[in-house]
Amino acid sequence: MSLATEDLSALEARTRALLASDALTTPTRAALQGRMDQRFEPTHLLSPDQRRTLEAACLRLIPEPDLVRRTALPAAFEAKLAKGLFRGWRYAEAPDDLTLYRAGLDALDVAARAATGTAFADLATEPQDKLLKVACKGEPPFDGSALDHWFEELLTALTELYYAHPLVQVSIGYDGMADAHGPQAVGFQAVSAEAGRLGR
Amino acid sequence: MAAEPPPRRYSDREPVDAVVIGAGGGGAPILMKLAQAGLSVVCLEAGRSWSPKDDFASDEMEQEKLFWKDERLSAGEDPIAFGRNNSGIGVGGSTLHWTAYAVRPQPDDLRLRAEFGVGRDWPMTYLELEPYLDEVERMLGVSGPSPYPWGPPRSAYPRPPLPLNGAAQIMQAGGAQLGLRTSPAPNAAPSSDYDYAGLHRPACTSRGFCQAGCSVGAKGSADVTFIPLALRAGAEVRERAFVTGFEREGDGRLSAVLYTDAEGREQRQRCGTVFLCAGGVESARLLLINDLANSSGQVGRNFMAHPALQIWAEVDAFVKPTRGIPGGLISEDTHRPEDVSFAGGYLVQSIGVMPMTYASQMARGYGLWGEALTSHMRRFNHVVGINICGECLPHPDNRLTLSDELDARGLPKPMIDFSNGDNEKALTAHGDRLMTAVLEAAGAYALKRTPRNAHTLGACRMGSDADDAVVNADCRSFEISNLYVCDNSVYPSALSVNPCVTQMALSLRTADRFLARR
Ligand SMILES: Cc1cc2nc3c(=O)[nH]c(=O)nc-3n(C[C@H](O)[C@H](O)[C@H](O)COP(=O)(O)OP(=O)(O)OC[C@H]3O[C@@H](n4cnc5c(N)ncnc54)[C@H](O)[C@@H]3O)c2cc1C
Ligand code: SF4
Repeated sequence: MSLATEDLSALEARTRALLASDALTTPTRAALQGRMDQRFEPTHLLSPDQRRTLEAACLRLIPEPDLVRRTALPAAFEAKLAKGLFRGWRYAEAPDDLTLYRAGLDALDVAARAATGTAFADLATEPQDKLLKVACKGEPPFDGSALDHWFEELLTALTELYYAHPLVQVSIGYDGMADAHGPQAVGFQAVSAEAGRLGR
Repeated sequence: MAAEPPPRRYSDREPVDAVVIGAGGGGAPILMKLAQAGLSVVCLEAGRSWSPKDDFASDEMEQEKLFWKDERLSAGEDPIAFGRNNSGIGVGGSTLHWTAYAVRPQPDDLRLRAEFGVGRDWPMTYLELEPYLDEVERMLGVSGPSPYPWGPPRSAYPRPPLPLNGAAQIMQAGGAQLGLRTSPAPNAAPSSDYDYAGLHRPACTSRGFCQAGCSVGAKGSADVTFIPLALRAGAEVRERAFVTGFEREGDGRLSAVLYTDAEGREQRQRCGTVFLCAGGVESARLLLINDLANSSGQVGRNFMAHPALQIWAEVDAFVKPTRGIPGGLISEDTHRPEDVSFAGGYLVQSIGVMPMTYASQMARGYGLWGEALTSHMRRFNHVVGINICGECLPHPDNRLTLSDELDARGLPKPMIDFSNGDNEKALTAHGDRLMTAVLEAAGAYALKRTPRNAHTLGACRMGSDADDAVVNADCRSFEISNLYVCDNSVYPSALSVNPCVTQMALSLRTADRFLARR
């Protein structure tokens, strides 16, 4: 079920009931319940302007406003940045993560002001998307090694944080975390039978 | 089960017979063999040990603790994504999160140069590896089809195949339409409870989290197979021991391994022989940092990563792509395809996927964002995928070097330059056409390609010529007689199969060769 047909409080109740059930192993429940209730301290890594740009960009990259707000996605990203993103690699041309993300957010805002006289965060969604499309392609003014793969990194980091959240997972119909009861209960046999109905 | 004896502790003042660096696919089998032969042996492993049942959650983000997170710099036309994709840390190494796809090479895989005039041959034959491959499959409790449809006859797999997930059934149906032979794949997870060498492992429950660690302890990772047997035979595994250097005698032989312990103290372990098994990137990095075993200039060169294009598609059926053993189905009909312009070949494999990994692929690999991303993710339960794993030719400029940037330990970060050559591109294009046809024949739609190279191979290659390789056929350094390197970095050619089973077999052979010399 998607959010179009279910409001946030119903999704929240359904998710909490699933996580509390014995269909989850103890370590799985601990990890997911912890994430449900996680609060993020503000950091000093981003300026207020950078933070506003980030929040606005989040809502366009992942346009599910209720869930983006409930999962505190921008704050979760900032907290991860504070810990170091630790993905284990980076493009050799790109600067370190913090420098890269700051430069990217600044560039987005500068481009918005240059084109429209308005901060990125205050633009309507359409011109925001237009700028993000340019950023996505790495076209000017989003080219150059200081912004190397900036958009890809931001998008990937946000996407991973978002789809790791149990509320979001349940909202897309994912229940893979509920596997404590072994092969009969993981929904696997039923799936096998149904996969016979192939294609359209 | 009988109570385990207390783990053995060696003093670091007394020299031990051997130190094994790294407790992954390369190191763990050697550790076991040497301990079973009665040698005093210590394994120094950068990561910690885990209890699958208590420590592993069915959650991708929680399980990121299994990935090697020290930063690597990726350059070239096709920069390699490390981290989640390409390396692990901990007692068990990358086998903690390997997908358990337990394929063997075919005999001609080891003779690429003899057959095609490119790349390199392995300095050994398939027949020499065969008994070790048998042993590895028994140790891992591989579930697979017997007889196996491709390659020479082989001993029966210990267990029959695991059930096929949605992607596997789609690939099977598409293959049948096109005349592409498919088969349930060999996977290192027993389809019923498995007892071997005094170890008990439960059956795979098809939960599909292999790449995030197997919490039920079914998957044949080193931590539930070779390592416990090594410990029983008296080996010591020193966890959170990060090796940084070596001490040498006047004659050039190594006399001790230097490492930083769990408390951050500098330590030294004296030893008779060193087995460097720190994986496809870290072994070459350690040799370069310490300027060891590199008068050939080959350390770091010829880095290879299998072309591993994935194609995702949607089906109407509700398939829950996470469920089931991920690599359910295989075809090796493309092992040596006819009428093609490239050397070598590839295998085709159906794949399962967890949601965060999939979303990440869609964002980074396919460029979906906005409504396109969120609406696609709402179709997650209808996603199927297949991929290839194909030959990658060695190229001297695909290379691991030390960058000027230092990491938190003050060691230079490794920089890996990688570009797919013409052979990899032609092979990938062939695989792309085939996988597209298979998916479309099965009625799948909305295909999405995510280009990828997988596995870290070759930067300390093995060979018979000291000017062209770093180690010989016994995985012993041409220069330092008591230094062995045995992990994915010694692969002279990539093989058109996933590397782990071959690695473990090579490690067992290396241990035997070493023991025979003593
Ligand atoms: C996500 C993923 C999926 C995979 N799936 C498959 C599959 O389905 N089938 C297949 O055949 N293969 C697969 N592989 C590959 C397989 O995991 C490798 O072939 C195998 O683990 C290689 O063994 P290794 O010893 O080279 O490296 P590793 O297993 O990575 O072991 C290296 C060890 O050395 C340790 N180490 C590194 N540096 C130091 C240091 N300085 N000091 C101390 N310790 C150190 C590391 O922590 C690590 O534990 C997969 C790999 C990954 C990453
Ligand atoms: S699918 Fe099987 S082997 Fe893989 S994690 Fe689940 S139980 Fe373990």
